[in-house]
Amino acid sequence: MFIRAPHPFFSRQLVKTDKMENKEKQPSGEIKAEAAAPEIQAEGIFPQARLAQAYVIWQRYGPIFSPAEALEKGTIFPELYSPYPY
Amino acid sequence: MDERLAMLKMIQELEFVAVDLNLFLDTHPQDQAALRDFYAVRNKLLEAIRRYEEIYGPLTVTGCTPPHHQWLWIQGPWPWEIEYE
Repeated sequence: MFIRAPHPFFSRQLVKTDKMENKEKQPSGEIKAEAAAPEIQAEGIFPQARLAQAYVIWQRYGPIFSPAEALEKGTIFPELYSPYPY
Repeated sequence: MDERLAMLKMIQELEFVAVDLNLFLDTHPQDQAALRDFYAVRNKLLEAIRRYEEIYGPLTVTGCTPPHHQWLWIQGPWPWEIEYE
């Protein structure tokens, strides 16, 4: 599901430890969600911090704004209209 | 607001709705209600552009205009010369 791909920031090695060397031996390809390695966890956080996972709810088509209202608000979708409170 | 600005405003509104429906349909290409609304807006937009260009000249350089004996494209106003308010 998740393909391991090199990333200019996250693929660089910060400090090489015995633990990290073991990590490097993990084969490329599919990897499972897991807690961040102890070396990069924030201290004092419990439960263990995990890497972020973004998701978006599937949008269903419903009533839309009139053209004049849509141009004014920047979207035709009432469910996407969320102006900053200031 | 005079007639010309009112027509321009309506074209801008319809174009915006068409673009937002375009984005929705990119991820929901089978959505019949959105498709219906898109084609309704598209027809209104093309009709509004046709009526505007008939009176005031082309909105785009290839805009549909009846034959003229002069080059209408450089006739003003340019977008930045229009006083919207």
